[in-house]
Amino acid sequence: MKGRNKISKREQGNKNGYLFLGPYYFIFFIFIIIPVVIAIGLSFTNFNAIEFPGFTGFLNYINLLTNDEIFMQYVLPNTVKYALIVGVGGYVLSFLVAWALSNLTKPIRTVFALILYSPSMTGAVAMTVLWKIMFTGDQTGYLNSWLMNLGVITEPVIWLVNVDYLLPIVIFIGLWSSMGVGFLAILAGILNTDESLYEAAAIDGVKSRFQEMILITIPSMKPQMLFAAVMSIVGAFQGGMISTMLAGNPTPGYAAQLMVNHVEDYGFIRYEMGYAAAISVALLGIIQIFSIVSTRLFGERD
Amino acid sequence: MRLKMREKRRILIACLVLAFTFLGLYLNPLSVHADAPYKTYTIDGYGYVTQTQTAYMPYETITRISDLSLSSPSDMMITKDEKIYIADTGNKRIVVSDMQGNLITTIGEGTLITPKGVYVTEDGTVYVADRDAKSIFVFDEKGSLQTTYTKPEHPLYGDGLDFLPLKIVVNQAGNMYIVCESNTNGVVQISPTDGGTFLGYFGANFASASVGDMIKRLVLTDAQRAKMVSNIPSTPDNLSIDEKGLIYTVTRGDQDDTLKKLNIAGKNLISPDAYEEIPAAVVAGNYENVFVASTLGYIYEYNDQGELLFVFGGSDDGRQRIGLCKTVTALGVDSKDRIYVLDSDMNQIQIFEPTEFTNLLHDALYLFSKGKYTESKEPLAQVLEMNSLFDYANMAMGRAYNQEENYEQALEYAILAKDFEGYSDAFWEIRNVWIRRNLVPILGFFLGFLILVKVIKEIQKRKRTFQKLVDFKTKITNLELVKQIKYGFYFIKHPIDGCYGIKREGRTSMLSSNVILFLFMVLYIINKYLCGFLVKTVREGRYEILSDIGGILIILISLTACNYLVCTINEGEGRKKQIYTSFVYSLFPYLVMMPFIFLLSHVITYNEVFLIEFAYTAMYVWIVILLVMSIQEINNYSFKETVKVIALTFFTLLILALLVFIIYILWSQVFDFILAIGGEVVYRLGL
Repeated sequence: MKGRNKISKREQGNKNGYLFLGPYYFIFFIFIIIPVVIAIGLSFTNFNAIEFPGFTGFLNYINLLTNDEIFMQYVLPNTVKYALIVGVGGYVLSFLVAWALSNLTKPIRTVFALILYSPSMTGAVAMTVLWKIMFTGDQTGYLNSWLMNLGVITEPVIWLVNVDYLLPIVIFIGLWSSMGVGFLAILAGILNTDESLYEAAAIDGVKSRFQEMILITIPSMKPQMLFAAVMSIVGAFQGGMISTMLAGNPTPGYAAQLMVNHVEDYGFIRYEMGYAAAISVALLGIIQIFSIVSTRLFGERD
Repeated sequence: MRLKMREKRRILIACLVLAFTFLGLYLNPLSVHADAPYKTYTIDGYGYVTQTQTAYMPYETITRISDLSLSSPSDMMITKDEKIYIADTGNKRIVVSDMQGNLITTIGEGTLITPKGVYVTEDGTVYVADRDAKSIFVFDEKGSLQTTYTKPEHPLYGDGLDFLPLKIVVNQAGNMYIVCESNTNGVVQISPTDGGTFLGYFGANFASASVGDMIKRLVLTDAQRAKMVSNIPSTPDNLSIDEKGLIYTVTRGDQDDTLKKLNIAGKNLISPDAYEEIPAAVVAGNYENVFVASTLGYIYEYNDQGELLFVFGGSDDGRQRIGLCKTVTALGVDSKDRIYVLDSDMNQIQIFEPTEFTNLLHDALYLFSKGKYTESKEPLAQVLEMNSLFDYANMAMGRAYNQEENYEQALEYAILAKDFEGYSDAFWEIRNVWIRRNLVPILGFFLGFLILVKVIKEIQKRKRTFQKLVDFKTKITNLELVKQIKYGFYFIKHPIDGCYGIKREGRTSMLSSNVILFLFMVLYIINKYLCGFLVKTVREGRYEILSDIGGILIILISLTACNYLVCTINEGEGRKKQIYTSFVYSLFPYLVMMPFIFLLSHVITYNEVFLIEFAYTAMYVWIVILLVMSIQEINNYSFKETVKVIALTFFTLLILALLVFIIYILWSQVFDFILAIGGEVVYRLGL
């Protein structure tokens, strides 16, 4: 450590480095750090967007854990369920799809990668032109129409109001749109793996593609795996757009109410900004915990 | 010996019946005439049919109406002013009688051809559904014909359809609901305006399509489909209307739709939890309950939610015992809750009377369904005093306490009743209160604990106060067996290297595998019998530990043996011991995750039950992956070979099971033979 410091000091400190990083840090500071700090600050107040916030201590947090039955009964279980299925499932799906794509030739691979990546970019448009029509609650909806033609159901199911179906639908769409940046990173990682490693492994006795994947592909692309894992966990916990787009906020019977929807509900419908800030800080904490866990799982261990 | 047992049981039952008889006499001196010739059943909290005390006693039989006898009567209506109207089909008339069977009058002689259904409104107007006359006849209270309705001239009725009315009910607006023979569109609804206006079909049944049908519909062309047997919905068999105007229909062979409770829009409100294959009649009771009778004479009582309360009655075997029926065609309930059952074969009416128990239960459930929870508790308590194992009453009691926010009691009754929903709700509240009270102390305790650990570590670092403990710990962890068991943690994370360790490096032993297997069985049994109420799959108080252990051992040993046999002839490198060890170590995720799942199962409600489901899924997927990988690695197979070997292993297991089965049958034959010879010898020698 000391030696490097001396050398860098000799080369006029790290001034140039900081200079280059400057614009990024400036923007990062303004748009990320300051809002987070303000949110943490507001979470200790009873801000209602009109009056000056009054300090209330930990009251918001205590209320969140002990008085908000909707949070405990619907929002938290829904969020955990959604994040576990969409986060973990989406991650595994990304990896498997990327691995399958890496076996194709380049032009086809590019087309498929684009197709698979597009849902995560076109969320809002796709929601209105595809899923809302797919799950329309009368016989004109595609799903109802198909199922009725097949004789599975006899009368249309109102998918987006039904408490039993809403969350599974949201999870399904979440999985559909989970091939995001993480998927591209994994694909790039797989394609960048050193070919000579596979040859060496074949000489050493690796027999199956599966062994290749476990023993060579995954270890040699750990950084990409970690990136994808963190991205999918964060993405899954922040998911919430799907349920509001499909069923409005709050969702019927709180069936698909996720934490982000809960924050929106309190922040922009009830204008209890302090409480909303407390929920979002709690969400930040949960995401942080899961990121740490995934770093432990996939990070370099030396 | 067997006979003796049966006799004993019969004596026991006789004693019980006697006891109940005395109880009944004590409670209601005039109510009991004889013991019931049938058993009464109910559904317990686990959904099993169990016997319970007699709910309805045979009370009387009306065999003739004064001096008139009936001839294959097919419908009956009991009015509020205590009259019985019987559709006396064979004699082509409607017989009106009082409740004791004294003739009041007859209606429609000369007009009616085959009166199949009869309904009487509150003002005494009599509606008769006459099949062969193809019309509905309406008589006023004096018996003179007022109107006749024939086949509706409406395009929606269907041109080719005949009008063969079988049963009829009329709602307060005067709209008629008619069940017609072989009309599969549903119940015909006719309004009295303009001499009968067809309003449409009501409460149609659905044709159910099986998965096979669906696949056929996908694959076949229209022409091919036309040749298939057409899938037609079934016609309702009977119907009834209650005071609120809700219509009940019964349909044979419609499974969950056998009994339907239809609102004014024709939407079904209930789905019975047990149903009758061949229902003949349905009638609404006085407590929003509903009775269904099967043709064979079994009578089902449901509550307003379609949950089964009682099944009783039975088929007459020719001895003509009071209380048993031959062919039931109609049901009725009077204001004293007596049930009237019309038997068209024996041309008589059987009358059943509710016992004290049933009366209390009716009171309680009626109050309960009206939302008067506090009032319903008293009759419920009396019901439970008579039969503390009546799960339905326990459930209602628990729900009542839940509504009163007395969650501790609610939890107790929910456990008794196996009411999982109620348990979940009550437990959520209790847990919520507990968290509210103890959140701060727990956080404090947790922080304190962390600080304590840090402090102890610091002290150890500086002064080595706990050196002896540390030494002891290292001594334990350095034991060969402990090391071998701890190898499981490495194995489940790195199965490929782990298998190498088992195969080449001798990191495990038979002893460590056996210890792990033992721990697995202990955890399995603890979890099976002591896990949280909501996830428990076995009945309370039932322990089959030996068969559990045997099952695990048999499965594991036969799996290992078959796998070894298949591997040795497929160029596998594994030895018996290695295969066994790797299989046992593949179960290690169970040891890691089960303690957490077990603890979690005690503090969850239905809100969080998905956590346990996830954990189970993850655990089993993990175990299966480990098993597959250990087969692959121990034998040094490629993936294709592994799949092949797994398929072969299962095939071998099947053969083994078959073999064991055959040997068992052969041996039992031999055993029977020896036993028979023995018996013969004993008989011949006259011992």
